[in-house]
Amino acid sequence: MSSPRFRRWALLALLAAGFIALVSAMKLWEVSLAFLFPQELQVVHPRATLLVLVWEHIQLVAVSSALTLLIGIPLGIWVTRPGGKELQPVVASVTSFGQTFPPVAVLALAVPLLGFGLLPTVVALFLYGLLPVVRNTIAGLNAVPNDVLEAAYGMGMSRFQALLRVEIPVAARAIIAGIRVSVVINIGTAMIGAVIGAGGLGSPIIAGLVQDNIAYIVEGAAPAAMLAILADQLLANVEKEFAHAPDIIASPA
Amino acid sequence: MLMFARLAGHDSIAFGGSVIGLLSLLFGWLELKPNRLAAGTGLSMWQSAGWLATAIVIVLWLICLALSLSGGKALRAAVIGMAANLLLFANFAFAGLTASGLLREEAAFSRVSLGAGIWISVFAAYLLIFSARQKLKGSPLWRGVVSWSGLLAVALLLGLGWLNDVSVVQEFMGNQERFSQELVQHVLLFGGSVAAGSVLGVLLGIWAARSGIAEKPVFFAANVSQTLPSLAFFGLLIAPLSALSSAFPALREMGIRGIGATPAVLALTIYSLLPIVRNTYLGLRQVDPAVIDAGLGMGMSRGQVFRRIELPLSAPLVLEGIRTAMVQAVGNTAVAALIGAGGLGYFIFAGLGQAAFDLIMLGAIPIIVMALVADAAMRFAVKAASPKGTAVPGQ
Repeated sequence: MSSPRFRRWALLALLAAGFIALVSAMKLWEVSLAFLFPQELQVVHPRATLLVLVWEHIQLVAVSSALTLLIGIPLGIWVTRPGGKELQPVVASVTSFGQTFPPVAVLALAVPLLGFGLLPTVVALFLYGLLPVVRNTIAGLNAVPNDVLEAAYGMGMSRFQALLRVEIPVAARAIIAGIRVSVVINIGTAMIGAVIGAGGLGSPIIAGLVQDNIAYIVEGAAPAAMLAILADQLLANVEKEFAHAPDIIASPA
Repeated sequence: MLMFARLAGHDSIAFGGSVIGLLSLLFGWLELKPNRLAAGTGLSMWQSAGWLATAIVIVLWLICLALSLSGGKALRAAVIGMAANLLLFANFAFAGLTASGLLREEAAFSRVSLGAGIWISVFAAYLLIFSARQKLKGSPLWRGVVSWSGLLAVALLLGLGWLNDVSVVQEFMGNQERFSQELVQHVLLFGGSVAAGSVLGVLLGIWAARSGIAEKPVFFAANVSQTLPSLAFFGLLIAPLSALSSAFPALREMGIRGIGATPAVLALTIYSLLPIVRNTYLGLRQVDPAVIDAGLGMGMSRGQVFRRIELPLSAPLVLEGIRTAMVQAVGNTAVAALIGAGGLGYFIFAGLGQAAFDLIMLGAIPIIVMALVADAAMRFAVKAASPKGTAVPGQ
């Protein structure tokens, strides 16, 4: 166990524990928000406790990100295989074109098609999240040096074995970088989901904006910022586990 | 799917686009609604626009399909590209005419909106345009014509009033003044923020590239701020700004308040920093030290080397960073409507609030177009700034 690696994970675990403790301590929020914003009669949003809101938010992002991985990584792998290679330019252009679409617009357009609530939010997060994952999977697999592949085949590996034991490990860092971009964007877009009734940490902010209550806004915004930073750091740590792989990092847009 | 891909031979993109285009006819092409908010009934193209229009569209798709199977010469690509643009135009032109016809027969509050079928054929047409563009790399003129002619023709239709009976346009007519006001506001918000972010970002990038001490903290701060959800970032700025504004009346008179444009511009500027700082840093770092030495050897001062060598050589990457920042800012500006900053997001959130889907579209479509235009314009700038014979970043 190398020491910087241990420190990275220990720090993350500590921050995560601190975050959970903080969002569980509703009393603390009530007292400090009441101190900061004495003008507000009510300082915590009555709909749900922070812990519930954080949990809703994580579920929303986790479900859509899981769908993203289940579809996006196999799709990226398929278009780099001989059988699907012809479609690689389409998939690559659609993903780079799609990333130009603002996530809010995608979420907004999901409503006329799917109505309000959880479903359009999950679908919009899933679709938008696909783009960086597919893009980085393709980039990562394409970046595997040819001589490395030849060596694998020379050792008698089948195509499938080479994929599993050589290509995916070499591309892993790029793929995880794509997942990181995808999850961070989704945490942000899920905030807007509160407008269409998907719950999560956006709901106290929206309530605060509507009712002109700054305390509600802070109650939603502060944990959301922490959650995003935590998730980003978690995936950054996972990315570093594959630091031996080539350096192909996704740009966020 | 696998079989299709094999069949498609040289031009799988155009083939896929043509197939999707033909399949789009199976979906509701227009939607007839008894009023602005009610659910509609879907009408296929032949039910609403008639057989002649449908046949024209089918023939055009079939031409594209046939050409896509016959390989990838530049001339064929140009024909496919033009047919796709024609399809784009035809879909909207027929939709406009059909909508007017339908409304004449229906009750006063009826609305005709564009159905899933039209949007799918727009997507399919753009797949064809993409494939054509790829094959027309050698001729910028044709490339430009294929990329933009359909969009311009649809814009012309809009300008001539052919689409006036389509519900989104009706929504626009009802909100015309507000629309131009929010459009200008949107451009001002994201343009101003990205401009400020560019100046600040380039300076920070130069600093990070030059000073060993600055590198880590600059990137840490830019990275963390990029991670924050936009709504949370806006929200976190509201409390301190409103405290400042109530403590200092002078600030309040300058228009600095907790909600509105102030937190929006502040957050959007900070958001645009990371891509610009990162690319400025990378741009300066990638300049070959030998070139700098050559400049110094020729008797240039340090400042001259910076202005005449380092800056021009890193310009494409810097502009590429600004492109990323700009596309992102167009979208984040839409969120800023929630904190009262205005902009086209206003229509999205007002539409979501009233469940008025046309109003949502009135916000979302121009925002998407704006992002695409900003992207294309910046790509052009990146290309123009790249020295001949070198790789163009981001393409």
